Amino acid sequence: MAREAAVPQELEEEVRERPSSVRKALNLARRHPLGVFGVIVIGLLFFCGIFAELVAPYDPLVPNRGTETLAQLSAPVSADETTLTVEDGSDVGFGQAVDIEDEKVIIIFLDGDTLTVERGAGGTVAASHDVGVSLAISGVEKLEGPSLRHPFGTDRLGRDVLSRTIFGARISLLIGLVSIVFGVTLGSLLGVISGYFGRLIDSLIQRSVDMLLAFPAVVLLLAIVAVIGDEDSAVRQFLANSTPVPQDSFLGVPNFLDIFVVSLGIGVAVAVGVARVVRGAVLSIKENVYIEAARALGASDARIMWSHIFPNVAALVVILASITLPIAILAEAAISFLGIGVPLPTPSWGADMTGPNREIALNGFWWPVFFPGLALSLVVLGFNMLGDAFRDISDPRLRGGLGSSSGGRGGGGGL
Amino acid sequence: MRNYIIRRLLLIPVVMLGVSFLTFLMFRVVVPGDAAILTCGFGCTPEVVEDIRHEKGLDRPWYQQYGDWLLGVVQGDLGESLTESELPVTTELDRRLPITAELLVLTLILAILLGIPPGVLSAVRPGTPLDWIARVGSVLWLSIPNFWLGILVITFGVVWFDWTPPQFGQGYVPFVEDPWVNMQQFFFPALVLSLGIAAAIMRLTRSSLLEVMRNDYIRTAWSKGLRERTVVIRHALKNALIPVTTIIGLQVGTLIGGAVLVESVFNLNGIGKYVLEAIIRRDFIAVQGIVLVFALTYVLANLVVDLLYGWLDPRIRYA
Repeated sequence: MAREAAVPQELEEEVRERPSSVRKALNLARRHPLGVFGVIVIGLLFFCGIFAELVAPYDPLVPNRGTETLAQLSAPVSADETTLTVEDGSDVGFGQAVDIEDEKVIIIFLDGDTLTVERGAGGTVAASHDVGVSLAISGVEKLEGPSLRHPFGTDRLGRDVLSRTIFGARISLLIGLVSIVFGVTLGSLLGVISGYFGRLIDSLIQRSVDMLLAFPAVVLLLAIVAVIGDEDSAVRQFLANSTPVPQDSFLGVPNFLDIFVVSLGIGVAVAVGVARVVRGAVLSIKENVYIEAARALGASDARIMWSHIFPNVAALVVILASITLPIAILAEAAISFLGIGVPLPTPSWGADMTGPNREIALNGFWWPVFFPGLALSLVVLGFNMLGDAFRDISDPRLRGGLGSSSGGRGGGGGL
Repeated sequence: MRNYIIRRLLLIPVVMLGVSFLTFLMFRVVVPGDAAILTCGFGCTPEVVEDIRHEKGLDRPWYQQYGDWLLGVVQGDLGESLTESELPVTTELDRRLPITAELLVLTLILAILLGIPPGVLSAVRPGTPLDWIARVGSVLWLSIPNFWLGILVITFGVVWFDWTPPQFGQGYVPFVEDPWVNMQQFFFPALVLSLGIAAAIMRLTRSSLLEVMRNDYIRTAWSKGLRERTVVIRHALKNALIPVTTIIGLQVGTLIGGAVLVESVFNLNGIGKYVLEAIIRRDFIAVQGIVLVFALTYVLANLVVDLLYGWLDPRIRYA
């Protein structure tokens, strides 16, 4: 008896106190630490993607140059001198080529106090000098390991890997969002039409979807992107000539058109899956009485689909979009990795993991391939953990459980 | 049952026809740039391209091209590659099929070995550190892209152990010829490819076993005084594995896609690498042939899964 009486009282107190939404969020966060990790990672992805210019310490496309002291001049030099002695004891004549650690250095002229040195590899360097001033050379900082100056090191062209990874977030985000918006729109359009009209249109669309699903996803993606990304493809030509899609650099991203085309290709693959799911939902929605009522009132098919069916699948579509975003990001990385996606100078995570970077990785220069892949893995991990946390929260059977991942289909757990 | 199988088998040619036609459509109708331009190479003039097109029959109407190809397929001829080599597609497939087949079989074995035992352990001891490690580990493995993992294996294999997979130097060494070299060639690609699938299998095994363990007949088994091992393995696991078999079957498509990436990373000359090369060269004859193999594998795998389903759970009847 006492127990029974206690319950409503407790409930009443809870209602009176009504925890603030901040309190609720904190509570939720405490129970789902992995979900919080996911939120942080995804937040970081968006932050880096949007504010890449501010976050990145260097330009992702421009090789970095550092200054390095080659030799110390041991004696004062005057303009009429023809040779000078550097500290390692060798004499260097003006206009003479010197080999310093396999890189040819040519001293070209001496003008007052300024000694200009030209490297064979290209790059002119001036070392101003007084008595005993050092002869310095500034070279491209190629393949430098992680250091304070370059936390992720530099790649074979001397570009900062950290900056490339940060700009890679923008590419991933851009391609992910564009392909999701395009794919989900196209997919739900096809799904609604297919489910609403049924019969021939339905069979036609669904059998095409069946065929496309029999392709392995990666192969389908490769084929679509290769086909529409082709130099002469109609889609590409159309985008370049008849739409305001910028062709070259846009939003600080080079080869914007290529990126856009790749996104459309991924979008088509996304649409295939979305069409199937949306159609299933539409099939049950259109059996509702209010649809019949609308039809009886003389509403057109287009009106019924737009204002009576679509609002009912909108929530499903949003969920599909959020589930598909990490898949689209991963897809972009995979096809760029295989050399069909985003072309090279663009700092895409997938493209940076392949080609020359992969070859030099075999010689021990692991950082140019390691960090973009780490970023990609973290992003996918973040989305997965957030997804798991959401499922745990929404499935009442799992409430109060471990607050982390559970089984594949969300069944069971928390015993 | 027999009717069901026959009906499913009859569906195979339909799927294959559709898949090959879609491929043809994509490469022949949507893209103007074709294999001829890419084969032509240096010093290419429009006339040379036309010549190549004519020689390979690419200037004929599309229905004639597709019809001819289809006629060949019925007779077991998948056509000739559009690249300079002009090798018959069947020759290439013959050479490469064993490589991909071994990779996929080994991957599946590893995925099951790495997926089911941790899933069972984590389900019978929920809430323990063991369970927690298995669950966090599975999210981790699900999230790490296999091509990156492959690169790491190769890179750090060289850097730390001075070891490179022997595929780089020599060709494919069949298992019966030299198991040691063969395993060096295939173990790591298969391991890398299997981790994601193992994680999916583990998660599903766990949740499905937890579900089954709540059933009345399990309580009966406990109250009979059976040992835990008997209850879990003999009584619960067989039922819990039904959804797991479906997942394994559904993963075949993912697996083939993964093979494209992993073969490219580990330089295995299998079908995955073949399809990538063919797509890059716009060699649509080869792509059509390869896609047929993929579709066949996919449909057969799904059929096998459905039949396994009926065997594992006799209540499921196919009319």
